[in-house]
Amino acid sequence: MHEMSIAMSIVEIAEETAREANADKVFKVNVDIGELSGVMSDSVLFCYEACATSEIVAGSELVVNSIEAVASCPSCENSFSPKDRYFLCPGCGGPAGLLQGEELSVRSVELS
Amino acid sequence: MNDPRVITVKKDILAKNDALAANNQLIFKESGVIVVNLLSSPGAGKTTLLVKTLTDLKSEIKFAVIEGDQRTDNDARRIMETGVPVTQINTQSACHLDAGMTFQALDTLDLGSVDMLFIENVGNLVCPASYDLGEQMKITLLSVTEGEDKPVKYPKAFRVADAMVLTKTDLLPYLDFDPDQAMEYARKVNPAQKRFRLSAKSGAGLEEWYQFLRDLTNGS
Ligand SMILES: Nc1nc2c(ncn2[C@@H]2O[C@H](COP(=O)(O)OP(=O)(O)O)[C@@H](O)[C@H]2O)c(=O)[nH]1
Ligand SMILES: [Mg+2]
Ligand SMILES: [Zn+2]
Repeated sequence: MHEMSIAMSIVEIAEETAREANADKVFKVNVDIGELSGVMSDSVLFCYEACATSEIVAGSELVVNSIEAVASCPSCENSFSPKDRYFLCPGCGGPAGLLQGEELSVRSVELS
Repeated sequence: MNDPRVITVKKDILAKNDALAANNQLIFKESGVIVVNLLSSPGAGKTTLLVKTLTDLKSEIKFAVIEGDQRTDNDARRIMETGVPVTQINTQSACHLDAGMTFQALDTLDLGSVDMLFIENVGNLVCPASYDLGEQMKITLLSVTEGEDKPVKYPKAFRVADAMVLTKTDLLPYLDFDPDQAMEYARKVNPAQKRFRLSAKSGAGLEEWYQFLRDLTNGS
């Protein structure tokens, strides 16, 4: 599972942010994880705890904002949830693009 | 101690890999090499299709291969027997290749004399889909011994793939697998995708696949 390397990247970003802000301690890290990102939030949470070991991040909380998938059709501007993971427009049957749902990013870090 | 502060970051978690991938892409472009990243579940037939393809096309196209799938350590040797240069990446039990590992593997290849570089990723439909290596194209394989609904169960692996290959079609007479249904699922997940059905064993469908590779190296 690549959740471990995802968690390690989150820790790195949190540490970097803390260093840049001259902070001693990270309390909370807020991340966005899209429904279609291919990443399981539960395993990221688990792995985060395991790899947030440096003094600056140890004991910090990881908060996952899950982001629903929303697809939209470029021709009829219909937007819909690709519920069964189908990317065909229910309106015109044409191919749809993804508006949101593949996010994998650190939104903010709480520190002091 | 200071009061808690909230710092807005808005940073992509995979930014580091993406930056390394962009660097690889530049190297590939400068060397004029087309790079294809092969994804599938373990055992879907990546190495078998590679060996067959290299054997049949090596007189027309100058190939090289990076082997990332360590399920068996025979894969690199199977490729080597075709005479095509191959490099094994030591993934140290990682579940996917990343752009950094790919960069390191490039050291051992003379890209200037290569038309097409295949990268056989680790057998896994989840993780490799998230890590760009700097390739032009991801191609996802699905074998007829898996479920027809793999494309909807692992949509990302099929959404990121510009082409998909249904493999082992020689086995269809012995299975209940419905190839049209599998292709329809893939179409629903990725309408624009190019799709192939073939058997590396019987040779059925290979010519269309070969023509696709020829066209890729000709830039069409
Ligand atoms: N019947 C049949 N078996 C195949 C075909 N392609 C691969 N296999 C078998 O499937 C197994 C796994 O193949 P391999 O190429 O190692 O899969 P990989 O893990 O994706 O590289 C091997 O036993 C192959 O002989 C095919 O076209 N037809
Ligand atoms: Mg293999
Ligand atoms: Zn539409």
